Amino acid sequence: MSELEQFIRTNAAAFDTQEPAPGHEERFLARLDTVRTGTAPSAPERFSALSGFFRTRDHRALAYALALFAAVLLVIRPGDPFRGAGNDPEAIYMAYMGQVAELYGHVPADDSAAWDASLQAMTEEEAPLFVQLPDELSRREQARILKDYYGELLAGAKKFKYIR
Amino acid sequence: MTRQEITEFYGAHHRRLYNIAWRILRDPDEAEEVMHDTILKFVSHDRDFASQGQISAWLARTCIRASIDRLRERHRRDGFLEEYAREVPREDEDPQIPLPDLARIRTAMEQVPDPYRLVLNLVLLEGLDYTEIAGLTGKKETTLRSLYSRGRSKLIDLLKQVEI
Repeated sequence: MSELEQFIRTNAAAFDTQEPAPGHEERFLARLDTVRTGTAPSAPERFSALSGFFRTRDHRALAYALALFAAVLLVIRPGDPFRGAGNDPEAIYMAYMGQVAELYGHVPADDSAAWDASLQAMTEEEAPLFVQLPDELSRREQARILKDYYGELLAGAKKFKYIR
Repeated sequence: MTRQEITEFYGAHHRRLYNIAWRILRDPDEAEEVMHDTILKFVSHDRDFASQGQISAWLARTCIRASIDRLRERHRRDGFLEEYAREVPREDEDPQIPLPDLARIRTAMEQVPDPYRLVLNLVLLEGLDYTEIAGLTGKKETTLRSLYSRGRSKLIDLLKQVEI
């Protein structure tokens, strides 16, 4: 290794002369908050307690429990990522962000940079749709559009969990 | 980690990570995103490290990998590194020149064309060996050695020009 190469290596820290644009820390903290809002238990976690109940009953009780379970599913719609959000556009958007944050937790720790980047590219909006919708639309109509749109994004992004 | 701890962690590491990403990507927005992604990934998972050195190393590798993934995506159509590595290395491989000052070397390093600069940066500033770089880029060590050799020659040419 030449004297020049050795000199550069020795002084590598002196090459860190670039500064990120103003507001970088605020933007980071905003992203941190978004990631941390996704702390709600997942649907599989919620139903794991129920599965334990089924294993401990005889057939009649099991049939009754299954019927009850089906009724519960109809009411709370576990496959609906926006359940509980009603027709509130902001609540729908927050439910979407929570689901996205949960998906980041499924990215494997090793070699995850590319997966994170892809997930981000699929789910992150420069200007969220929910703030772009015209006020002339009713909240019900806005909710329908948002659920369709964010539902499609989530359906694609959720496939990430099963690729590897 | 608490929000305060994360903020302090961010303050301690962001500048180095930003510079690593910036040197590879040469784009302030992308460099900031990669820096944020890297730190978010660290604080979002429980990881055991024996020392600050290990933490720094993990952050640097993750940041480099994410930056290279983005670069590869950007250059997917032109074969990433191979085309440049096919150039025939010059005969005068290791000419000795008077040692310039750091500012001049920094200026010259930034002027080295894209594919060569990447390998020069990874070897000289990030301290990676060819095996590690091959693992990160998916390229053969011979390709990387060729790129490094050409990059070093170009750097020396640039330093001579600056000197004149």
